[in-house]
Amino acid sequence: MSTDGTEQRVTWHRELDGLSADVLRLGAMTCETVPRGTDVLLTGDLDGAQTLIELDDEIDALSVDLEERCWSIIVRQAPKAGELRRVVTVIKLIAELERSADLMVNVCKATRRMYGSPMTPKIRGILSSMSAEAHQLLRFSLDAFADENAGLGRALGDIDDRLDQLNRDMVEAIFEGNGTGDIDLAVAVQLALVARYYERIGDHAVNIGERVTYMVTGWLPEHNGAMRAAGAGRGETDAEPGGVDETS
Amino acid sequence: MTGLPADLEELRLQVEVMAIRVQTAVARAVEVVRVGDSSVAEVLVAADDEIDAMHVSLTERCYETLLLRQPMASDLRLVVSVLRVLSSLERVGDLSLRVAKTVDDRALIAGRAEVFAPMLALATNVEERMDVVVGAWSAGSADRLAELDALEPLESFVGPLTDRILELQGADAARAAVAAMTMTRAFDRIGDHAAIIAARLGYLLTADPNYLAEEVHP
Repeated sequence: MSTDGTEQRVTWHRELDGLSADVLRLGAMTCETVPRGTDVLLTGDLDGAQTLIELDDEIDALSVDLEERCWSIIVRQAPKAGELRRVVTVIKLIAELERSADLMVNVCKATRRMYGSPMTPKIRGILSSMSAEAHQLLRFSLDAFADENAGLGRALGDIDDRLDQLNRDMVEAIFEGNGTGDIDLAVAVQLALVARYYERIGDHAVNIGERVTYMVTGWLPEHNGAMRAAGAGRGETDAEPGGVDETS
Repeated sequence: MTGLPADLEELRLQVEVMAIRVQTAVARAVEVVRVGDSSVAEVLVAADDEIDAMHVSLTERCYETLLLRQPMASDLRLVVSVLRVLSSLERVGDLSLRVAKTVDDRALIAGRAEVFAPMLALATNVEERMDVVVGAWSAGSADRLAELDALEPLESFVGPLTDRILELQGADAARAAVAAMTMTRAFDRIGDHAAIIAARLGYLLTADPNYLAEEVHP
C-alpha cells in the first residue's frame, strides 16, 4: 500500500473510532437521564424536570450530528463488511438512545401532570427498582458495544425479563392503589404510562444488544422472524412466535 | 432498465409491497377494536413476522445498494428515505400488533360508549391516514399527500378521548382506563409514523426540505 493509502486508512480508522467514542458519549448522556429523571419523579422536582427536558435538546442535536456523520462516512468511504456493520450499528444505536432519552422526557412531563399527588410506598419502591433495572440495562448495552461483546448483547433479552416483571407488578400495584382510593384514576393512568416508559427503555437496551450482536457476528434476531415467515410458507415453522418490538 | 435505476425501481416497488402489508395490518387492528375477534389478532402475529422479514431484507438491500452502486444526489436521497420509511413501516406493524394484543381487554372498553365511540373514530382516522400515505407512495404523488390535510387532525381525537378515559367510573375503571390509554397511544403513534412517512415521501418527490421540518420525531 502507498504511503498516501496508508495515511488514508489511518485517517479513516480514526474517524470510525471517533464516531464510536461520540456514540458512547451520547449513551452516557442518555444513561444519566434515567436516575436523574427518576429522582425528579419521586421528589416532584419541577426545576429538575425542566433541566432534563432542556438537556434533551442537546441529546437530539448530538444524535442528528452523529447520524449525518454516519451517512457521510458511508458515501465517502464506502466501508466494507465489518466496518459497514459498525457504521450501520451506530446509526441504529443513535435512534435507540435518542428515543430512550425522549422517554425520560416523558417521565418528566408525567411528573408535572402528577404534581402534588401522593404515591403509595409500594409504587415508589417499584419505580425505584424499574429505574435501576433500566439504567443497568442501558449501561450493559453500551458496555457490549464498547467491548464488542456479542455474548452480553445476546444476554440482554433475558436480563430484561426482570424489568418486564416489575412492569407487571407495577400495573397490579396501580390497580390496588386505585381500588383502595390511595391514587386517583388520572394518576393511575400516568403511573401506568411511566412504568411503560421504563419498560420501553429496557426494550431499547435489548435492541442495542441485538445490534451489537449483528455488528460482531453479522446475524440479527429479526432474521429469526424472516426465517419463521419463510418457514411458514413451506409449512415447516416450529419456532416460537416473536414478541412485539415496541421500540417507539 | 439496468444497473442502479433498475435496483432503485425494484426497491421502490418492494417498499410498496411492504407498505400494503402494513396498511392491511392497521386495518386488521382497527377490526380487532371494532369487533374484538381474537382470530384476527392471531393473523396479525403471523403477518408481523412477514413484515419483519421484509424490513430485514429491504434494509440489507439498501446497504448493499449504497455499497455497490454508491448512489449520489436524488438516488442517494431515495435510498436514505427508504431506510427511514422502512423503520416507520416496521413500527406501524408492531403498533398494530400491540393493539391486537389488547383484544382481551377490549370488553372492558366496549361497554363504555363514552370512550369506545371516540376510540373507534380515532382508529378510523388513523387507518385513513395510512391509506393516503400508502396510496401516495404507490402513485409517486406528492399531491396526494394533501389529502391528509382534509382529515380531522389527530389532536382533535386524542385530547378529548384522553379526558374521557380519565373520567371513567365504576368497577374496573382503572383497568379499562389503562387498556384504553394503551390503545389510544398506539393509534396516536401510528398516526405519527404516517406523518413521518408522508414527510419523507414529500421530500423524496420534491427535494423540498420543508417537508423534513414537518417530520414528526418518533
